[in-house]
Amino acid sequence: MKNIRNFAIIAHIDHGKSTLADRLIEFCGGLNSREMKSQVLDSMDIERERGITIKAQTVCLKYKAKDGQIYQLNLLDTPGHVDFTYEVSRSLFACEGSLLIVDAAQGVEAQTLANTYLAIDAGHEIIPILNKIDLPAADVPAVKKQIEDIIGLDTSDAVEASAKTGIGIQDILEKIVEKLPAPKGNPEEKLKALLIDSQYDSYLGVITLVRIKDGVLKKGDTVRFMAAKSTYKVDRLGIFSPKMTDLKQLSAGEIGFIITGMKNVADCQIGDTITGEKDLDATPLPGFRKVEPVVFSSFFPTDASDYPLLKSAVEKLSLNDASFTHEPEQSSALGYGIRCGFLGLLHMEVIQERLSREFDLDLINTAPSVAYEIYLMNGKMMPLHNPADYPDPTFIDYTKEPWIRVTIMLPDSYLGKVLELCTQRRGVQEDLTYVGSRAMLVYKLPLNEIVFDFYDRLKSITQGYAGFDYAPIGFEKGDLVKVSLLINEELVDALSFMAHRSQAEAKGRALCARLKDLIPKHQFKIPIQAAIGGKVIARETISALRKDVTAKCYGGDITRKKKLLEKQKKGKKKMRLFGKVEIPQNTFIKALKSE
Amino acid sequence: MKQVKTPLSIYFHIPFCLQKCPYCAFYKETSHPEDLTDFYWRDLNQYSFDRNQFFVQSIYFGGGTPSLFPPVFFKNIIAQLKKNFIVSDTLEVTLEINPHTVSDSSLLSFKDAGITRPSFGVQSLFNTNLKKLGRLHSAEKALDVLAFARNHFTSYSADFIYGLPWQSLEDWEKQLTLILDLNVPHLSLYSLSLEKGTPFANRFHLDQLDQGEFYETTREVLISGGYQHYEISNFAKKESDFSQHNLAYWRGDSYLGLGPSAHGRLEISPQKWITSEGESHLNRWKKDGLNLHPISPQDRGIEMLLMALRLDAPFYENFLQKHTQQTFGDLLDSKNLRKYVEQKWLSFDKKSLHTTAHGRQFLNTLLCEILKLNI
Repeated sequence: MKNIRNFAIIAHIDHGKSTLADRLIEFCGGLNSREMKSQVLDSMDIERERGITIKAQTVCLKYKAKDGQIYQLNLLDTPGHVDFTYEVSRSLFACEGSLLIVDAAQGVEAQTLANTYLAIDAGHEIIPILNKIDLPAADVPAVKKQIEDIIGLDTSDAVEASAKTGIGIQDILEKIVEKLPAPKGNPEEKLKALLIDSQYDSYLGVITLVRIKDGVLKKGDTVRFMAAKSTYKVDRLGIFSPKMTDLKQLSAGEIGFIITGMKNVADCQIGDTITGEKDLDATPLPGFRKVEPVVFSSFFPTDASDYPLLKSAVEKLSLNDASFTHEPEQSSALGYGIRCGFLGLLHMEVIQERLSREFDLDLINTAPSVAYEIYLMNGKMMPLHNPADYPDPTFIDYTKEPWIRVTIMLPDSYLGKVLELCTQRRGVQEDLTYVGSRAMLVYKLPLNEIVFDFYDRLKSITQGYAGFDYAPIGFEKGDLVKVSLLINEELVDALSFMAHRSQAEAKGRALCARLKDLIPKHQFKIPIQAAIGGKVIARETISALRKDVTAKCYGGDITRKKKLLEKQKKGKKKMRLFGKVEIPQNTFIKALKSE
Repeated sequence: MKQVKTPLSIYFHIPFCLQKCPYCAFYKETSHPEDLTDFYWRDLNQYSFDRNQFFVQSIYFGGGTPSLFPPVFFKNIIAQLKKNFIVSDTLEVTLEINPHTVSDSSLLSFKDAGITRPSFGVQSLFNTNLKKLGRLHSAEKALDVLAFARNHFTSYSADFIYGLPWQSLEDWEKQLTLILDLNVPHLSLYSLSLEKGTPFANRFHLDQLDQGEFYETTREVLISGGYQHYEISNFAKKESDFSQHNLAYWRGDSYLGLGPSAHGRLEISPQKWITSEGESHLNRWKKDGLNLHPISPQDRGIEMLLMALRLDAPFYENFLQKHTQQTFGDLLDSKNLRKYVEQKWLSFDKKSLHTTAHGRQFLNTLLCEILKLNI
């Protein structure tokens, strides 16, 4: 066990985590060059395209150090995004140390910060690595100073590297051996293993990543998943090198995979403790919690007959992702659909994108909403995931909404605009610090205010220079109301939203104005109204269309005219009928984007 | 027994202009006008068909600015056609004329050359509009030319554009009063459409302008002034003033298009149609000629409907059947047809379809609803 090192890699998107992992694998001979493809660990297309990791993965490397000994280095690639904070914390709990990768040209980013704190919380030894030192814009001393000032890490041991050119790769491996502690744990004790993550494979079923804390897990053992309260026989176990390699056993300190007969990832709860079948008095490992979605949005097929396809696609995706919840929904406006819950905004986007990309589904997604807590007069709490379910206000005592703590790093020249944005969004400033010309801003904000376009706005007002990260901090009371949207006197539930009372009117007015531009003219006038309860707070009118005919066909060109008609008819097909009004399907998402 | 012949119309695309108007998307060159007569004959021979089955009812010289060419150019072409085709006694020969390019004497020479129906691109009677439209002539010049035409041609036409991005309804109403005073036998009044890729499309949008209001006003004023609103954008004093050539497009007759951007539809044998969809540039067209290909009877039937319903005239199913073997039932969505008949957008008496004025005003919507389009 003294020759095992378990470590995670912490990095901001694009700071070179995956490339560095590739180099480490290559250096230790994990794959020959023919098998090497770029970014071995990010196996989903989406992961590779966006440079993010969604699923935790592990690679077991054999490294012969300069001291002559062979070390088993277990690299755990963790999800890098704030939406997956809990998953990250469990992955970190499976390791004793972390490599902190910082782009020597970009410097410390908000995301790096949050994950580094998680690693510090997990008691990790952290090795700072300045990557991309080959870039002309690299400024090693300045970035080292940032690491010391912002994060508070000593950089005297930092490694300067370039994953691209291979500089510093061996130094990193040596530092891992030398600086990171060997795992603690007792192979003689009863089995206790941490469930790190799981993934679904259509041939093998559920593959579970585990870290053995104590004891030994053997092929053929029957184990108990404590939180899930279920037992399974271990059919196969082993390590990823990074190819799946079967072993007879995994013992304390090691990270590997197990395959049981499990068919459903819902039984695999991240952070769960795995023990021997008969060990009923075992105490679970600390830190486990059941993950709850924080952002909700509904998907409706644009073609109602695609509902069964949508349903089966959602079920397939949830096979691999127990954190995303789904339940059928019926909207008077949009027909049958599915209401889904996500861990955060990125999680939502990833699922949306996978549904349209992998299943070729044409979907209408409704505006994202957060989970509210509605306290009723009768003393009961009703969770609200969908504005459509908002109860009669006379039954409501008060409402609570989720808040988050946001960390924004930005060049200080944009500070004024960003402060203004945060204030608009009901933010409460908690901290403002400077490191050179960069500012770090900490705000408390209602999740509801950032759930849709905060990041887009932030990026556009800072021309892409601001980084942003957040963590949930619980629920607080708020004066919240439901704003209903009526088009041609008919309630369109898919456009109704929750808002703070002070902003309801302005938001209602803005939404009416945008809908006026998005909904095509009809033969009749169309009133668009926003209302709280029975009280109309904003109104716009789409004037009637008075003519729809092509003036002229140049020189007998019927072909073009026919094509235009076909285009018009195609456009019509992409409309949804609400009462008498046809609304283009992309209206729902467009209307809710401000500006 | 006398053989019944089929009417045929012939269009010549003359792709040269002195300059490009900023709203026009039609293909043209601003290089020195080049005599393309030999290429037109080559195009004509590409349509291989039995000429004896047809008689030529109309010839149309469109552009571009065909009036850049001298009268003799047209005289030769007309003579050549008369030599090779059976020609109607009431042959209509239209020439599109830019008022800037003609004088009293050249108009007389065009008449001598065989032009029976000059069509003047007036566009506006106000110089401020003409300037913004990029036209080279003045309102005064246009009025002179129309006054001369009134004395020398029984049939002639004038084109106007309304619904300009900067135009008030009042501006157009004033022009309509002036237009009525001109007493032109045939008027084409087009509402401006912003065509992709034109300077106008980049500069303006028409969202703020209610072109429907302009359209309704135009219709009311002209009808009360004694005009028939016989097609969406066309008005005439009497039926004999209707554009025979354009009626060929609208009624579903055969027509040949000659030139780089000319379109043709020809029934080469009963219910067998070929089309040419000219979308070529001058040099490519000179090298490659027309792109002729067959068109299915269904597609041709759909085309006939979408053109015929522009007219304030019934379109008969037996014509459709005779030329395409299609019935109304084959091409129309019967449920929607019933719906729009009930809404009085069109009338349907089993044998014929006839749009109402209201239905024509929303013809694109109507066609999308009732035609079985392949999308």
